[in-house]
Amino acid sequence: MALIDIQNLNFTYPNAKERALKNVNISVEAGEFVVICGPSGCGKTTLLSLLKREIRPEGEICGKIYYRGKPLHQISERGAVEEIGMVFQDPENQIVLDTVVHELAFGMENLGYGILTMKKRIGEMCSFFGLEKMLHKPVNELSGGEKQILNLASVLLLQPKVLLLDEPTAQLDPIGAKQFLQIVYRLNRELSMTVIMSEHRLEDVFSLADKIIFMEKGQVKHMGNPKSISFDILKSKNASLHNYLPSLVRMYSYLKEDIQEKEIPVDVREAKKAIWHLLEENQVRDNRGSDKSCKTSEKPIIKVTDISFRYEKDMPNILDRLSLDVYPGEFLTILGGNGAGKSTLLQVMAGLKKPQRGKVYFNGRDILQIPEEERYLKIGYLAQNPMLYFIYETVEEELYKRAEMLRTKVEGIDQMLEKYVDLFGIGPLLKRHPYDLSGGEKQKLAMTIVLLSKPQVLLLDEPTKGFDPTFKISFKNILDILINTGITIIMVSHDIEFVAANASSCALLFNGEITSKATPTNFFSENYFYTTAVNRTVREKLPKAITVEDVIKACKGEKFTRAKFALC
Amino acid sequence: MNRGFASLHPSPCFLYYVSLVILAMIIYHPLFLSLALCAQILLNIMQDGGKKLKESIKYFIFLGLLIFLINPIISHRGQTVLFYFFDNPVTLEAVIYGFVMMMSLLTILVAFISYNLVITPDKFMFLFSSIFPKTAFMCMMAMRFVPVLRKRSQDIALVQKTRGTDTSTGSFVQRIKNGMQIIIILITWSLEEAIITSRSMRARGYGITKDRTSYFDYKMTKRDWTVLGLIILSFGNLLYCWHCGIGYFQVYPEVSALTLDIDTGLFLAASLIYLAIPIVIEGAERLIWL
Repeated sequence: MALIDIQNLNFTYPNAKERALKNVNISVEAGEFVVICGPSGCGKTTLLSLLKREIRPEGEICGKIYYRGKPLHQISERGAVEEIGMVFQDPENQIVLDTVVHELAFGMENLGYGILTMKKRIGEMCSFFGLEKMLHKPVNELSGGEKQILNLASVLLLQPKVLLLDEPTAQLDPIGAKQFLQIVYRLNRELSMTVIMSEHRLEDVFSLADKIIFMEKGQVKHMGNPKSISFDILKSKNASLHNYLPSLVRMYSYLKEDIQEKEIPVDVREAKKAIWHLLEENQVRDNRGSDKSCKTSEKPIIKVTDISFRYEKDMPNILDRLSLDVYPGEFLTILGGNGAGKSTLLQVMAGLKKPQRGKVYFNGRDILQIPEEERYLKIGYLAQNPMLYFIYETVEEELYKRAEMLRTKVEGIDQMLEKYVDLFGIGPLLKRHPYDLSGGEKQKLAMTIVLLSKPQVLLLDEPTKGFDPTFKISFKNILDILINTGITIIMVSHDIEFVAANASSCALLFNGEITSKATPTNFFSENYFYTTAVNRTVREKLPKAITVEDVIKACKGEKFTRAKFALC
Repeated sequence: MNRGFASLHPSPCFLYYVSLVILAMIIYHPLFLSLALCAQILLNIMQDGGKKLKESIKYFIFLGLLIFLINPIISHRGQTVLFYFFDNPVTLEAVIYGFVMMMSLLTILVAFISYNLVITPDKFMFLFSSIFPKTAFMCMMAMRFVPVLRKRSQDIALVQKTRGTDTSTGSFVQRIKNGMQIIIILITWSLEEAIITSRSMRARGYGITKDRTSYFDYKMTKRDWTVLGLIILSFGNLLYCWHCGIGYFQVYPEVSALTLDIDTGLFLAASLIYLAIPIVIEGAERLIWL
């Protein structure tokens, strides 16, 4: 008997024309690791919320959900809370109380556990997660990854049988994300905990999952173990789905003529085995020519000289004698660990924060000497959270009021507004409230607001966080268009695959300074861990290949690549 | 910090500070207050080397002196006129009363520094939650959101500056308007995010049982009971003295002489026992490590 049995489930939100879930049939065995993936808005989150009774959304449900053979709504209130635990996407807002220990105890207190039980469980959990050191810390001193681990621990203290995770790593940096997934994997293997996780980046969870469910528009499109679902998707006509597969699988599929289900690689080890002979057969030429050229002969548009910055008098320097030159037309990405000071650097370059030492020059002028109004017009800054930008009730107002404000300062504002609304595909959203947009749409709206002032430099703080692959491609196209119009882009990112494929140069921020700046090819091919999965697979043969495209080009030549990639 | 006096259960510690404040306010005896002040300074030094005290001692002395000086200037009660200040009599009684008030205030302020070292917010919540569990829970949630809201408003202010909404430049009215703008964004955004918090609370069973327990890791041990008993006894003793007028020091209308009779001697001895409790506990802790 399956642990969770979903039969013919349909769900419609109030006042919605279309069903959010259509005839969903899924059964989950005890101890299974299930990953639900698919584009944003495909119904992943809705499905998970329906499995967690306390937070079931309002709407019309049709169909049955059985938990251990009983309809879900017949389980006792207490049992439902204890046995089915859920961790949400945003690490910050799930936390209710002030210190780690209070937060851990929260769920147990709610259910009226005795003090001895609570103590015992917290003690056990802390040693499993290594939380002893931070037990009495205020939660706001924790990093995003630590917060998410706290959220997981706090749910686990109720000893659930099923763990529901709604894109738990979408807001984390790659290291935090890997750590989190490793813990979940351990829980699954060592305690045989049933895990149902929604995720649109398969890259990291591919080798962990027993079953992957691919959803689209509220329907289950494909289902199976990692290999069989890859096989199904690769055989299906719909090429845009290929982007959801991990880069290794895609690389394999492009290189191999007749794809074998058994051979499909789930990790670097298997990928090496599967494609090694293919690389030998093909005459490979290691010439990655796709690096966009940087014109170093020109004067830098932004010149950062020896800046030091710290937040408070007694705190260590977060930026320490940092220098960096950015040239016109460059697409520079700044990489680095969590808390390395990437966002701070971006704010200093935008002239929003004044460094204690050193200067930032914009076109040869000291940035802090430029009048504020002019400064913010010429240097566009897009913060990590687009919500910060919205003031008005509708998207339309947000854009037109902004255009009105800029009318006297920027030429041809109306044409520009039209152009961007078109380019970003905001047209259909104009009457909506900015808060009701999806994450990606919010990002696009905020970016349009910033771009309306016709900036020469655009500073982006982790814009691709939480984007699904389809959205990433459309975002990439937008960036390409912007670069072609002559805008210089500086982007802070954790997304190695995106950076490798699109940036013209990469810089690593470590220990308060830029330790290296190079083209993506040189930057990543010299790294050992901090590089793409593709590069780790083929580096002995093709040390300079860092993206799937590079490998294909090296093996099959330019023409083939164009044809293949035109599909996506 | 969890050693010495602070290693005790929060209840005896809390009771001690409350009783000290009460005594410092009702017993207006210069010798008692001087002893109490010395004891509190010593306690502070033993607890953190006087670090926290040093930070604020300047303001305390200023405040104390202010009261010491203002009282004789505005109060002309008392029999013994010392001199005339702008045709107003300055009496010995008023000067002494000012001194006593200063000592009382300083004792309370210095004790408060030590209180902050001993009764951490967590301990306070524990004490509070046994009387008002709901309010204590709300306080802990509020404490969580203070830094979150501060961070959010800073982020909003930074970004809105680039859109021309700046609270640091422009006319007064414009700045108020801009500030309001930031607060509006802060509120709408925070309400939006609070939905997630409430989902997370429900998902972990908030509100499904009436008898919510609370997790605090404090237990009364034998040592705590002993100290609690000691505090209650010595505090009660002093209260009794005060009630009977032992150790009463008359200021108005005429200041009484500071005599050391048997009554006063006994009273001061009782005070010493009471004041020594935390110091002995701190000292005993040190002896272990000698």
